[in-house]
Amino acid sequence: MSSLRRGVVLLAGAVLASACSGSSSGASGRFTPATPDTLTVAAAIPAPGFWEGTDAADVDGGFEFGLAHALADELNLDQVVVVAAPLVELLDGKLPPGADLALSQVTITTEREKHADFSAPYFMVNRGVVVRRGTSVPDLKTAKGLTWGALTDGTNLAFLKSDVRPNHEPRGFPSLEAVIAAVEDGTVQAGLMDLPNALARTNGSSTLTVPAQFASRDQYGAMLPNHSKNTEAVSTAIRGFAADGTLEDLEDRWLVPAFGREPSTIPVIPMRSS
Amino acid sequence: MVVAAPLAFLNFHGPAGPPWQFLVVILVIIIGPFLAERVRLPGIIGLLAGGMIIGPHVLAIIPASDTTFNALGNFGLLYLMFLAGLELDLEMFRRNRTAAITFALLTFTLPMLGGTFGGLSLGFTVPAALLLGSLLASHTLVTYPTARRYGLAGNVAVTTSVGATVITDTLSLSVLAGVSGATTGDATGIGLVAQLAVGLGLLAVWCFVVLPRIGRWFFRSMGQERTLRFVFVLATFLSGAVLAEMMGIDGIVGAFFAGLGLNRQVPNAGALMDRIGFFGSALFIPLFLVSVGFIIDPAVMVQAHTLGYAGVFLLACLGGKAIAAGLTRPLFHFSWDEVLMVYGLSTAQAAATLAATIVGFQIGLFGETVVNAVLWLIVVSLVVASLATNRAARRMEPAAESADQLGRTIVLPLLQLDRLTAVARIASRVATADGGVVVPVRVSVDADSDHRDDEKLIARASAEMSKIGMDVDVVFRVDTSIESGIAHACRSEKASLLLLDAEPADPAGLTRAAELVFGTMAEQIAAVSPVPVVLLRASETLVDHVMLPLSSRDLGGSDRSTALALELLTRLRRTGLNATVLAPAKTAVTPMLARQHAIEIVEGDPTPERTRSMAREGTLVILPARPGRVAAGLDAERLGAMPGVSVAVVMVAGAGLSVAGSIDQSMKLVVGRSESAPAAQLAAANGL
Repeated sequence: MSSLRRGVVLLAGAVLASACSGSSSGASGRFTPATPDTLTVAAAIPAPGFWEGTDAADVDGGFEFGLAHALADELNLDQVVVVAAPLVELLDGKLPPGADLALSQVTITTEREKHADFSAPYFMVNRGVVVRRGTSVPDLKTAKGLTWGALTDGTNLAFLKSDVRPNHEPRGFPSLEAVIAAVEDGTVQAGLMDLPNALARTNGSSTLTVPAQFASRDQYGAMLPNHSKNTEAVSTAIRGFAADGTLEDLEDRWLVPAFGREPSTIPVIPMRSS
Repeated sequence: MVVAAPLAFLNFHGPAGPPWQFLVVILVIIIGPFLAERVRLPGIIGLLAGGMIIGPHVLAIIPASDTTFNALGNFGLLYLMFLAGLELDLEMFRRNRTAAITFALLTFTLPMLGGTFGGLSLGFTVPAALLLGSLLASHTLVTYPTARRYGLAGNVAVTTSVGATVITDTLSLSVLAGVSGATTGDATGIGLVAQLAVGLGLLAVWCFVVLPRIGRWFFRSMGQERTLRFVFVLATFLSGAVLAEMMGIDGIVGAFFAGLGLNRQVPNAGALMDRIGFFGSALFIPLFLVSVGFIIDPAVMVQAHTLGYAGVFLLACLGGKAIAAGLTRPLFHFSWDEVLMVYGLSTAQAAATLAATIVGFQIGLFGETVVNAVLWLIVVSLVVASLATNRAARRMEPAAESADQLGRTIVLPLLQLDRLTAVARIASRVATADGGVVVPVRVSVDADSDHRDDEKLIARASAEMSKIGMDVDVVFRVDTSIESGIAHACRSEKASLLLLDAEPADPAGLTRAAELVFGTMAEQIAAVSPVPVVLLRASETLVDHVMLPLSSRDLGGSDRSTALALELLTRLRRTGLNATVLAPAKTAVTPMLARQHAIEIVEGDPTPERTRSMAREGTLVILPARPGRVAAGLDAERLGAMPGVSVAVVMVAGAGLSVAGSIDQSMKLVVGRSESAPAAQLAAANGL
């Protein structure tokens, strides 16, 4: 056998041995949890519709709650542990110690991808406008004339500054609850947040409503530590949930009742001034 | 900075947004294949690599959150699979079906088993392992153009491989349908099998029964505009994809089946196929391939884990395909060069493999590692297939032109238009039977004219042919004479058959067209025609029955015109016409009609009287013309005078020389309408 042939055979053998040895991950990627047999999920709670409960200890439902359990099931993990984390920290790509991933309505952006890994998307959203009842926002021109508030460090504040460009500088708030409160007490005339959050937080309110939305088609993804080796397995599982209807079932079960209305019935504000 | 500061008021910013992303993708489509081919790699590699570079893992010009190119890539994937179904040569499969089916089962089963066990050994779930096996079992005819370039398209090894592709791809997609149905649906066990069986059944009915009928109706009625035809085609494959998804089967299966269903109506060499292929090659398929490149992560691609997977995939695929190719030697007595050719043609992994892999990725069966490993497989298999095919092709002798391709390219001279619809219908049937095309040719001998009359005639002819569902590009030539123009057109268009309208425009006397057919010009055309000639006297009555009277002399001799007449008959039978052979004895005809069981054989002496008594309205009588015998002429004359009866006289290539050699004045007349020769004299000359 020539040395070239011998080399090829040895290389092939090494490659095959590498494929067949060690922690076999199958076709969908490997997942190594931070705590054995446990999926540790970080989330900002409360988040009506997504995490039902007042804190991490008493959550017992919600879209992302259901997604976390489906992931644990798919990844052959025995339990899910929820860890509360401030939303602004999650939006900065910071996961609490020991968390495998965050499921907290974090939009996938190029900027965030520099600091964290994102899974395949699991939810697509537009931006919802929250105002006091009686205020209408039919077009961009009207929107420019309003005073706005949004979550600090979120994509909505950036969107207001770069795309809506209102006459008054938009204000940043540390939480979605603070944005809602600012609209309610008249600190700002309108708040901008992801449509599911806007709908869930105004559902049943006698003072607030969502009269319009901006079509942005942003995507929520599970956030993992930068360069995580678990991302492939989580993405594969989420793509599977999209294909087999799991995500749709979760949406029907948790988000539709929480929204109180069908998102597609809310008028879209055209992004060009007439 | 020195320059930027004074210009800061200009408020310039870097390129961004959809126009920038589209520009970059289009540049990849232009440059990627070019660069890949410069280093002797298939263009597909350049597109995949370009997608990787601009994708989220390298330059991130297209971010991971992009949805636009993802959707366009999905459309491209459906388009690719539709095109794959459309381009498969069903005629080649039909001709060589025993060998093709046997080889297809071998070249599907062995890599399927290898891939499935390989996947299971790597810890794949059963559905993922089955899908892996099926995607390794399929193949794409990437290297077929090489075989064609060497003149080997008719070689039995090549036709076997091409025919086998129909089966392997269908089987692979059926496995995909089962796996994706099991993964994404709620049904399991018998319920799943039943759902798939019903789903595939309904899909098959829609794609193979309903769509071709709708297609025929559309092309004849609404779809006479070329743009509309193209848009209709888009609608057909999307309908297949939508229906498949409604049945819980992946959309690419529906798109592939829709392509197979319309395969006969959209011939590979036709104008519509040209447009479908153009849009596919220019935009839709490259978009798909570039979007696949977005998934490639160079860091993942060179990981030992990915390389290990790729090694297993390569072993299962190339090994299984090699064993299958090797078995063709004892089974079909192929030479080693032919074995190598079969291996080269059946090894390349590209479109079908990529399509199934992406579906596996989308439904959550495969992660990025598998996709990247499959891309290694594709690159290596393309190189191996290319080397094998080229090496085999250089050593093999080109195949002789097959007479089986009678309807591949039918040249139809536009002499006069009075009977064009009837003539074109028959030409279209013969072409459809072979998956071929009709090429209408208009010849002008007036070099100084502005050819406005020719343009008008061409426009009218195109419109008339559109009305019967044909999609043709008329060839216009200026030549020194009509006969040489037609002969040259036959050569330049690589015609397989020349079909001439033999009907005089004016029943009262011979016109230019009639002269052409019946007079000296016919002899000259036949003399110089490089391909068989059919002189067709078509009735306006729709043909629904075709008849071939064969005498003992026809059956006993070695005259090629008899064989050609039978070829014509069997093709017309395959397009749904009833067919009858009138012959002195069944046993003499049966061997010549192998596998043509649906042709009726009537025993009896094929005298002109008997032939006429059997012909009825809607019958096309095929008559072989032979040198030294003028019977066909007299028969043609008398049969053609019958209401609703059409007549086709078949002549071999270059027959005009020998016919002309024995032709006298009466012979000229008996081929068509006789105006001077006494019938009795002609009958005597015929020996009837």
